[in-house]
Amino acid sequence: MTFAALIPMAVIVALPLLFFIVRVKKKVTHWLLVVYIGVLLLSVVAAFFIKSDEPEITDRPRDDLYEMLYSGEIYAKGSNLLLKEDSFPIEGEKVRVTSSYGDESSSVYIERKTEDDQKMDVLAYGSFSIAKLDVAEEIVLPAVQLKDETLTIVYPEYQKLKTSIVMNEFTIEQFTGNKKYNSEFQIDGPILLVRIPPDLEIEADSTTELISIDEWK
Amino acid sequence: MSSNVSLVETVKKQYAFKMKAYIDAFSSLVGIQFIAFLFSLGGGSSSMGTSDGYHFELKFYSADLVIIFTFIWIFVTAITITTKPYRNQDFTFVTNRMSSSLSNILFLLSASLLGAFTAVLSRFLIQTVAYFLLKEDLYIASVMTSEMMIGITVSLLYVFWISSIGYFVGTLVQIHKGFALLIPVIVIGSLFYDGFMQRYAMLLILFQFYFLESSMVLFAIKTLITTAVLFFASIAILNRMEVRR
Repeated sequence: MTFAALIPMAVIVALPLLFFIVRVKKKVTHWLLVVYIGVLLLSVVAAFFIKSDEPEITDRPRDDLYEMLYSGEIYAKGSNLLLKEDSFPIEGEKVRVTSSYGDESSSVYIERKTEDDQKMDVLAYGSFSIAKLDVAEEIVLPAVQLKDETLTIVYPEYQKLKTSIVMNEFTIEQFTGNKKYNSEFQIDGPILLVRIPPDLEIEADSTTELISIDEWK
Repeated sequence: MSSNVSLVETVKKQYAFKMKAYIDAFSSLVGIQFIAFLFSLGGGSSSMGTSDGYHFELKFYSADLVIIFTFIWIFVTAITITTKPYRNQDFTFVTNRMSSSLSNILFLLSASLLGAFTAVLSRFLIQTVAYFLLKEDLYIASVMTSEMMIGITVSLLYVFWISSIGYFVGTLVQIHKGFALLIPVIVIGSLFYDGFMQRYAMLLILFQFYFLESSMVLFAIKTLITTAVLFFASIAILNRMEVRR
């Protein structure tokens, strides 16, 4: 925040006003004004102690998650949308997938690797923005673990995300032309891509639908 | 020369008197800005959305509403000081219409300065309360000192410009009470008429002339010239009225 220099300026403007106000007859109005201006000046000081983030607005066009997914190129080209990556060593020849996603079944996308590296990679992709602010870091992603040849995916509870933006006033924006916020939401994902060795057998229970993306390439 | 000096002295005395006599106008400023502040805490233009497993809520905080309420306050204040009870207070001094109007304009300028300054500063009160009392996680658009100066200056120009409109409207009503009815009828009627004719409202075009100006210098020229013309017209009209009517 760069309004440090604002405080002396505010005091310089306020002092003559306060002087004028208190030297005339002390009516309620005078005290009301003194208190009001005092509170406003205190709030300027208090604003120093607010821990906040500078909104990082990105106007670059976001990659289309589902377009990449359906073209089968999400792993090759979707690094911008990658939110989390887990890797598990595989010991057996078969893996079973189960998930918890409320009362509904969830979709998990499967891609077979070209080489057998004896590892299963689980990648979460998504794009989350509010008013052009990237809020992907605030999203709780599904928890994934591989145990006893079973890949368990636990989806988080219903999530509430609240974003509050302090904007500059229109009397400033009119000349700085910085009005960059809007009320758009972009909620794509998260989707899970499981990359498995070419010969691994994989199956799912009724909670999960496995969709192979190899056919879309 | 002596008449000029006496005019300046009279204006000075009347201005000092009015700053005390009309002090209650400032308590209504505090009141109206406080109401706007409470509305602003609601998060101006909030919106929300839901998707699979997610609920998003977005709030925008700013002092825009406080500034707009200050416009309304100065408009009403400017009209009020043209009314008969206020004009009669001038006759405790040796006065004429010119000194009365000039002191009124100086009072409106002072009121505009205070209104603009407090309105822009209320942004910090809004964000402080939102953060410390409402426990909001805030993204705060950076504001440079130069931008704050722009905000205060532009708000002052707007508020003073609107005070000149209010003063002119008040003056017209002093000529004939019929203007109190005629002016709202013309303003609201033109909006309805333009809507009926399915064309862009003339009033909006007029306001866009000021509100969409992106050059600070041109904006200042536009508002200051309009303000000067409206005050000059008001003074000319009031000068034509009898000294005490």
